[in-house]
Amino acid sequence: MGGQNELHKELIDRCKVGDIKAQYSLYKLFSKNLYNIAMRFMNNKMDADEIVQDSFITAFKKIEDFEGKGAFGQWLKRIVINNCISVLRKRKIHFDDIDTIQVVADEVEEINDKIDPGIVHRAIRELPDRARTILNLYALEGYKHREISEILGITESTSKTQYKRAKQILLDKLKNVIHEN
Amino acid sequence: MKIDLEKYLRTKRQELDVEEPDDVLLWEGIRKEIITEKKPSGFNVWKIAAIFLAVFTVSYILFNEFRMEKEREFTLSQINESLGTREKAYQEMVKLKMQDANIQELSGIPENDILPVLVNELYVLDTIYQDAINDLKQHGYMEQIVEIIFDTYEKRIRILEKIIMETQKIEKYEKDIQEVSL
Repeated sequence: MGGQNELHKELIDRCKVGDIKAQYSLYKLFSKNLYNIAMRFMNNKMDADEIVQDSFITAFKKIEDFEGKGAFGQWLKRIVINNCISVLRKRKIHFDDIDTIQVVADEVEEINDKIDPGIVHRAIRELPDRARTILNLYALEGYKHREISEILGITESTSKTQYKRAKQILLDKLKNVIHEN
Repeated sequence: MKIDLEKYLRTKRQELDVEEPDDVLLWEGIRKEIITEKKPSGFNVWKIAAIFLAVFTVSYILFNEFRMEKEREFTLSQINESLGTREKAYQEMVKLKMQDANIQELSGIPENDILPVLVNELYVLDTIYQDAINDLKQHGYMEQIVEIIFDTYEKRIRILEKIIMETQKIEKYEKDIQEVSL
């Protein structure tokens, strides 16, 4: 981990003086992860491509602002997630809308641990916009419900309800696969 | 074994990244944008282009003279007469286009970023040509190598034509500017 951080630091220092090879190396290190995050948020290739491109351009232009206190990957990830949320907002997705689907309390939320992650990834992509966004933020990107409520302008309780609903829909989508396994 | 969905998502987080980005396309977009951003604002970028053009034209002229010497040492007519005739026709055409392009004068043309690229392409073609000639000398007649040689002639002619067009465009632009200022 220390060696990896050292490598990142060296690449970042070189990026700060405009070294294009270092910029490409950083791109290659993080592009796959960031692209997959963007795909799970946006559920379409064109948006994901644009967000990943814009995020790297922003990161390289503002790399002087990166103080090196946290991990560079996390910094990049935040830029990508912010860009995804911003695009979703522009599309007038209201995260505080009340859903018609009833949230069932205490429903079994288990999954076979052998299930192919690729299938789960695709099922997440197919979730409705609000559910998908909150599930991505909470379960995959490690945001707290309080942080999600601030980012999306909703209450913590809405965030929790939407998350519960997202898990139900996801489990429903995976039901056939779960039975097969 | 069954596990909680949330636990599954967190433990398999890395494995969920199954899709491959189109790195060539994405990087090209990023590269273009950051290179544009890096262009020095206080320094005239045309000066850089002019320096490149001057370096490339001088190198090309020297290299071309060297190549002509080599051509006198080895021609395709040494393989057979028909190839020699075809080569001679190409050489004549290149010579004419070189005169029309007036390549010695190119370094005096300001504010153009296409010409240095074209002159550099000529330089690269000559390197390919020279390698092909060396291969022929070393391994004897090979149809593929002869085709590469003719291909470099054809490309050289096309590039010289582009250089001629580009210089004509610049001349016309400068003439128009002069007329407007008069």
